Amino acid sequence: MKKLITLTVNGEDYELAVEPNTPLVDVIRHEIGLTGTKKGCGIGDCGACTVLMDGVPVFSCLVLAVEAQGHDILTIEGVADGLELHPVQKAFVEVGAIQCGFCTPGMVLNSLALLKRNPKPTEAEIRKALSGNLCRCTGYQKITEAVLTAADEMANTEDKSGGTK
Amino acid sequence: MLEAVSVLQSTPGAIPYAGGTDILVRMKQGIIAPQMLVDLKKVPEMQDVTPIGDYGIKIGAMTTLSELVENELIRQRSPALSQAAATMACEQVRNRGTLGGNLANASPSADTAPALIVLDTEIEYFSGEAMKKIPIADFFTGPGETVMKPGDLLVSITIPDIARKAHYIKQTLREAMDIAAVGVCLSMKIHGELSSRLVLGAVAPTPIRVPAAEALIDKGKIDEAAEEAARAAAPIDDVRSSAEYRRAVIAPLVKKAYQIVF
Ligand SMILES: Cc1cc2nc3c(=O)[nH]c(=O)nc-3n(C[C@H](O)[C@H](O)[C@H](O)COP(=O)(O)OP(=O)(O)OC[C@H]3O[C@@H](n4cnc5c(N)ncnc54)[C@H](O)[C@@H]3O)c2cc1C
Ligand code: FES
Ligand code: FES
Repeated sequence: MKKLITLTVNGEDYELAVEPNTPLVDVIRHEIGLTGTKKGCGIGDCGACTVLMDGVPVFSCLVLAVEAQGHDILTIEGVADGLELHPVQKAFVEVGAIQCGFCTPGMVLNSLALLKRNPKPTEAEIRKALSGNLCRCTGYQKITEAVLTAADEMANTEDKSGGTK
Repeated sequence: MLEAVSVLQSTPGAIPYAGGTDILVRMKQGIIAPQMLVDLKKVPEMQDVTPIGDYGIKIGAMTTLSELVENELIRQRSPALSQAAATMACEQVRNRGTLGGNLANASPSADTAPALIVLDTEIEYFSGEAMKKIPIADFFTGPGETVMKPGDLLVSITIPDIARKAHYIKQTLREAMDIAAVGVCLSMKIHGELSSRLVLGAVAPTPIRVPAAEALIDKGKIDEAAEEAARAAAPIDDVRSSAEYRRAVIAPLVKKAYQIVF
C-alpha cells in the first residue's frame, strides 16, 4: 500500500505516493526526476548514490524514502548557486578529477560534508572520509587534489562572500 | 517502546528496523522479505548515552556508529569501542548504522562486539513482558543468532564502573570498507590485578573469549597466551580469507594488542 509523504529536496517540497520499501534513491531519480544522483550497486558498496541528509552524507540506496520525511535532502542538483558552480565542483573540473563522471556527484557531496566538518583536511583525512565512494577511472589522486584545492579556495573566499552554502 | 513491542508481537513477519544498513542490503539480495519494518528511531529508551560512576557508561541501542566514534563521553570511557566503530564501513554507513543493529545482527565479525565483551558489558533487552539483563558474552548464540526471540528488543548496553584499558585490532585485506578477517581485542584492569580479557572475532560462529589465554596473560606469559589463542580459534574459509591465514595471524595480533595495552 502506497504512503503519502512530503520530501524536501534541494529546498523544494515534493508530495509523493511511495511504497514503504522504496529506497530514497529510486524516488529521487524516478519520481522527482533528479538523475544526478547515481545508483551503482544498490547495496552500500559504491557510494554513487550519496546524498546529504541534514548535511550528513548517507547512501540513498540504504535509506527508505519514508524515512527521509522531515529531513533536508541535498542532491548534486542543489549544490551550485544558479549557474555559479560551488568551489568543490570547480576544483573537480579544474584539477581533472572527473573522467566518466559516474562517481562525481557522490564524491562532491561527501567532500562538501567533509569540508564543513573539517575545513582543512589532510590528504589522509580526505582519503578516509571518501573511502565509501568508489571510482573506477581516476585512481583517487586527482580527487584528493581537488578536495585540497577546494579547501584552499574556500578558505580564501570565506571572508569576501561570507562563504557559499 | 511498548508500542513497538506490541506491533512486533502481533504482526507476523514484522521485524525491528534501526539504521537499515544490514536489513536493506539483505532485502535487496532477496535473503529476507519482512512483511513490516518497525522503525525504532524514535523509541526514547534507546537514545541516550549516560555516565555511570567514574568509569561506567550506558549506551542506548539506537546510538549510531558515528556517535560511537565522536561522542566525547564514549571516547573517554570506552575508547576501544570508539576505535572499533571507526574501523567500520564508511562515513555514509556509520551515519545510519547503529550499535543495537550491529549487535542484534550478530555477525561473527561484528566490530562492536569484541570491545564490549572485553569490558564485561551487560545487555539490557525487552523480552516478552519484561526487561532482562545478561552479560554480553552470553548474548550471541551463533552466526546471526542471539538469545533474543522474535519480538524482543535490544534496549541498551551498560559498561560497568571499572577502569579498564583496552585495544581492538581489526585485520582486513583491504585498507578501507572491509569486514574483519580476524578481530582481536584485549583489556586489562588499570587498578589491582590485571584480570585480562581476550576476545577473538570472525574466527568462530560467535565472537569468543579465550579464558586459558587470559590466565596466561595475567601471569605475563604472552607467547604462550598467543599460541593458546590461535589454538582456541575455529576459523572457516570464506571469500575474505582462508582458515589457515586466519589462524596464522592470531598469535602475532595478540602479541601486538598486548604491547599496546600493557
Ligand atoms: C557497505 C557496508 C559496510 C559494512 N561494514 C561493516 C563493518 O566493517 N563491520 C561491521 O561490524 N558491520 C559492517 N556493516 C554492517 C552494518 O552496517 C552494521 O552491522 C550496523 O551496525 C547495523 O546497524 P543497523 O542499525 O543498520 O541495523 P539494521 O539493518 O536496522 O538491523 C540489523 C538487524 O538487527 C535487528 N535490530 C536492529 N536494532 C534492533 C534492536 N534495538 N532490537 C532488536 N533487534 C534489532 C534488525 O531487525 C535486523 O535483523 C556494513 C554494512 C554495509 C552496507
Ligand atoms: S548505489 Fe548506493 S552505495 Fe552503491
Ligand atoms: S570518474 Fe568514472 S567512476 Fe569516477
